[in-house]
Amino acid sequence: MAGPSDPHHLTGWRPTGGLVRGVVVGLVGLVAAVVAGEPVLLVLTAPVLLTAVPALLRRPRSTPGLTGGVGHASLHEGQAAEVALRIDDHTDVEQVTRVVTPAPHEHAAPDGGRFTVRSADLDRVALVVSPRRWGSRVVGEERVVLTSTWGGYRWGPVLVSGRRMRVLPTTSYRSRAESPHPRGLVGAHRSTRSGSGTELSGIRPFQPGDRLRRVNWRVSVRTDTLHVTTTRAEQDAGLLLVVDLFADHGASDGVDGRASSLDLTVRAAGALAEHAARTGDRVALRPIGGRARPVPMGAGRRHLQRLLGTLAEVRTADAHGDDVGRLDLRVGAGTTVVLLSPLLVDAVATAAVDLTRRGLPVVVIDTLPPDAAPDAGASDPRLVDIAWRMRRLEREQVLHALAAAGCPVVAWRGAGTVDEVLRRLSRRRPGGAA
Amino acid sequence: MTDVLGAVRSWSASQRGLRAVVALGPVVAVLAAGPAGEPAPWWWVAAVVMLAGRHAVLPDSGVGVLVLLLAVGWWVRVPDDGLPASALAAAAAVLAAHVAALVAASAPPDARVDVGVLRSWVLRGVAVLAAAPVLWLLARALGEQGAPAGLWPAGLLAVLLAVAAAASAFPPGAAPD
Repeated sequence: MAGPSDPHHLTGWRPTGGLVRGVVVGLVGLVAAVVAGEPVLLVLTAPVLLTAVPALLRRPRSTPGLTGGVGHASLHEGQAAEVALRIDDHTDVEQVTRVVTPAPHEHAAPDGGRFTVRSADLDRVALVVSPRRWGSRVVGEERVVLTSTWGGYRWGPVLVSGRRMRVLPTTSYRSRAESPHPRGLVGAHRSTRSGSGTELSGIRPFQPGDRLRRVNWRVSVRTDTLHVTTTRAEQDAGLLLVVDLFADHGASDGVDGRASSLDLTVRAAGALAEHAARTGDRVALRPIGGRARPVPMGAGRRHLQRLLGTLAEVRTADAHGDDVGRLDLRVGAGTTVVLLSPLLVDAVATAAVDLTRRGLPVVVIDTLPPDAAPDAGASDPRLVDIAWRMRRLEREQVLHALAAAGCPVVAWRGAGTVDEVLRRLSRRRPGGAA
Repeated sequence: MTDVLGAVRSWSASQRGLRAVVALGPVVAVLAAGPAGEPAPWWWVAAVVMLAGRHAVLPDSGVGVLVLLLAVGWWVRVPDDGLPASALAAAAAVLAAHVAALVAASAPPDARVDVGVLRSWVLRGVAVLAAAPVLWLLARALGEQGAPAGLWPAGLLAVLLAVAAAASAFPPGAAPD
C-alpha cells in the first residue's frame, strides 16, 4: 500500500498510481496511434484508458469521517473484542483497507488484522483483536485507507486511535478448599467457634441464654432434658497475596505460550484473588520489590476488579534484589499469607520463614519457570551460565530451608495447584504445626 | 536482491499471484510481437523484464507507466500490413498487468486480497477488454477500405463519450460488479 509515512496529514482524495498509469498510457497510446497512424497502439492501450474513465467521472467529492475503536474498558488476556469502524459519508468509497498497528502480545483477525473489503461488506467482516498478555496497553489502533470507485482515488491512511485498557490476568483457578484460620464476622468458611451459622456443630443441654428456636425437641423428649442444637459460626478469612516483583525471569509469549515468572505470579495472584472473592473472603495485595501500589483488605466484586487492575499494571523494579534487607510484611493474626515468588531473593524466603515461625499459615508459590534462563546480553555467555547455575543451587538451599521450617512450597501449575496445600493448612490448629 | 526475495516471501499467496501477472503481462505483450513478424531484440525484452519486475514489487509506482509504454512501443515497429491477431493477446496481457497492479496496490502486500474485490475487477477487466477486439475489427475494416483523414480521432471521441455516458449511468458500486 502506498502512502507517505505520516498518516496525520493524509486527509484528502489523491489519485492512485493505477489512475495515473491508465490515463498516461491510454492518452499516449491514443495520441501516438492518431499521429503515427498506428491503429495497433489504440487496440493495445484503449482498454487501459477505459479503466481510468469511470474513475475520473466518479471523482470523489465527499469528506469521509472515520471513527471507531474498542467498546470494552478492560479485557482478560485471551479474550477478544471487535474493533468498530464507522465511516461518515461513504458515498464515494468502494473499498476499505484496515491495517491494525502491530503490537506485542496482540492477535488480530481476520488475516492478522490486515485486509481489504468492499465498503458494502464492511459490516460483514468484523475486525477482532485479542490481547494475549496482561498489562496496560493500547488495543485496536489501526490505519484505514479508503479507495474510490474503480480504484481511482485514495483517502488516507488515516490513524484511528485505539483504546488504552487494562488487560487483566486470566483467573482460571477454582478451589473448594477452605482457607485456614478464618476470623471475622461474615463469610462462607467454617469457624472453629460455635455461632449462628447453619452447619451442625453438636447437641448439648440447654443453658440460660440459649434461644428457644435452638431447642432440639426430639432429643429433649427422648432424654427428658432440654437440649439445644449448636452450629458453627460462618466467618470470613483474610488472604494476603504477597507478590515478588524484584525481577522477571523467563520468556513471555502470552496466555497461550511460554510464561515468565512475572506472568505466573500475576496470573496465580489473580486466580487466588478471584477464588477468595467468590467465597466471600477478604483479600489484600502486597507487592514487594517492584512498582505497584498495595491494595488493603477488602471483599466483593469491586474489590476484585481493583485487585486485578493493580495486578495488570505491576512492573518489576530497576534495582537488584540482592541489596534488599529484611522484609517486614506486618501481617496480622488470622491472615493466610500466599507468597508468590521465583525465590531468587533471599529476603523473600526469610520473610516466609519468619511468618511460618509466628504460626501464621503461609504458602509459597514458586513461580520460576523450569526453563528460565538469564539473558546474557553483551556479557560472556559462559560466565552468565555459571552464575545462573550458582544461583539455582542457592535457590535449592532456600527451598530446603523453607521445607525445614514447615513452610509448604508449591510450583504454580494452574488450576488446583494450591488446593492440597490449603486443605492441609486448614486442618492445622492456629499457632500449631501441621 | 536479498531485500527483494525477503519482500516476495512476505507477500500473501494472492498478492504473489497478482504480482506475477504484473511481472509477466508486459513481457508477454512484447513477445507477442514475434508471431506478428517483428520480434523484439533481447535487450528490449530484458529492459521490459527488469522494469516489469520492479513494477511487481512497487505496483503503485510510476514504473508501471514506463514498462507498459515500453511493451506497447515495440508494436510501432510491427509491419502495418494488417493488424495481427497476436495484438489482441498483447492487449489482454497489458490490461491484465495494469489491473493486477491496481488491485495489488489496494491492499497491504502481506494481506490476502478480498475475493469480492478480485471478482469485481475480473469482471471489469473483461468488460473493458471487449473494446480491444471491437477496435481491432474496426481498424482492419477501415484499413482495407482506406479510411479518410480525421476518422480515427472522431471515432475515438465517440467511443470515449459512449464510455462516459455508460459510466455515469451506473451508480457507484453497481457498475459492472
